[in-house]
Amino acid sequence: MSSKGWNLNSPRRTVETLLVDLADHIEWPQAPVLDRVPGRLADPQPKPPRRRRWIPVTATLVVLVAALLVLSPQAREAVADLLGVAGIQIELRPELEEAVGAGLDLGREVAIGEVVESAGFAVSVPALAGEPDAVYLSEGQVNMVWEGGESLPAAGDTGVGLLYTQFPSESGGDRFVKGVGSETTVVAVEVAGASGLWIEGVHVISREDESGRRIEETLRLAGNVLMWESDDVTHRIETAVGLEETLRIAESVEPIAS
Amino acid sequence: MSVEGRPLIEQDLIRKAKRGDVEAFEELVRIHQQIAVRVAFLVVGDRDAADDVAQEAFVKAYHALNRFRQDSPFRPWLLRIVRNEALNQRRRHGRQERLSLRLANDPVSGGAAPSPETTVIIGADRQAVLDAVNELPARYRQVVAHRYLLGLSEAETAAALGIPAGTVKSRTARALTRLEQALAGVIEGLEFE
Repeated sequence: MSSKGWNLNSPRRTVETLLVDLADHIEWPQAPVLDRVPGRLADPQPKPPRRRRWIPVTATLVVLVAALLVLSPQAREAVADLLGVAGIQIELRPELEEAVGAGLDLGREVAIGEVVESAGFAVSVPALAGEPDAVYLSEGQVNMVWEGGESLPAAGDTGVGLLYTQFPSESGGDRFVKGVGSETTVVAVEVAGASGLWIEGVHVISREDESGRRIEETLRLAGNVLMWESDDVTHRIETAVGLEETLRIAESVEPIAS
Repeated sequence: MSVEGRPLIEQDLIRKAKRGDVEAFEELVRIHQQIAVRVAFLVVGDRDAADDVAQEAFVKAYHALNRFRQDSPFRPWLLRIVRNEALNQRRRHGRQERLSLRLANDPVSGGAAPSPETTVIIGADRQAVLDAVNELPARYRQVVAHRYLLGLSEAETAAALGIPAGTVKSRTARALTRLEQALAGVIEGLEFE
């Protein structure tokens, strides 16, 4: 016998109907929100807490990194490899210049659709940040920029609240080299299960071309950097906010559907 | 859930709230509080925590109103803030995402008469459907919960979850295929009882 009033043309349709039925039978919370909201509307915008709760394992890794930074280039490379961030080396640089309001020099500004087509790898966007305010393409490197605002304060005097960079991890001989000064904290972190590094404090960025020639790049944001590698793409986020907030942004990274 | 003429009223309320009219924003809270708490509940899995999250999210939304584009839909924008706040809360408490939904003892919200469709589904079937949804991988469970259990559109689900609409579509299709397989016995029972 067939269904009493059901439109069961297909199992798919039946599943959808079962789900809609289920929605009416879920024990949803009936919590009143309203009465506790109005009193708080005059409050100033609460600032997210900047937590620094390094777990002991992480602390151990920080010490390990700090100790090895003064060792040989091979040892430093081994640390970067150990931490699983491809295409990135860490090395000690004796002196770092403070970032001044230099131009960001991120490449050619392109439409987001163009970058998805031409980047040569699966381009992602941190969904939490919404659509980027500008997208730049530079030698296979995709740079997305969000203007600073209330939730993402601008870093220094750049006016930029978030810079998200992505490039293929195995892009020939090009490597990024992070210069880490003595005031800098390096922490091993996990970004949605992938190994990453959080670098807090002043830093410079340079890269080596295929012949090993080092090209100094203009310091982008004098903020904090989170780097991780996922699906053969190295991701880097630069912000002025703390690790917790940056991780939240990083973990919202999703490939853009082409 | 839909209210005739809401968009116009809502736009007016948003305009006033942007100018600092607290009463107008309270009305927006009244309109959206139920869905907001449910979105939070899907993430934190606890009634009191969902209430706290929704409250915090409304306060944040009020302070962020100047960044809201007047012509864009308000609900997905709000629900995104709610979900992010819920994720924050969950992370602060080190909880894993899990769907801890249960069937209500007194079913059918709003006192509406059961439709012909609902009369043929027995409690055991509903539990089986709920179990199957709970068993889905998180990425599929989220879209199913937002699309069918919360009744959000594809675009609203995309905005609330912060993923492209195309991803919502493909994940929904894959989730439904899995549910078809998991619920084959239930579906057969409905068709041939």
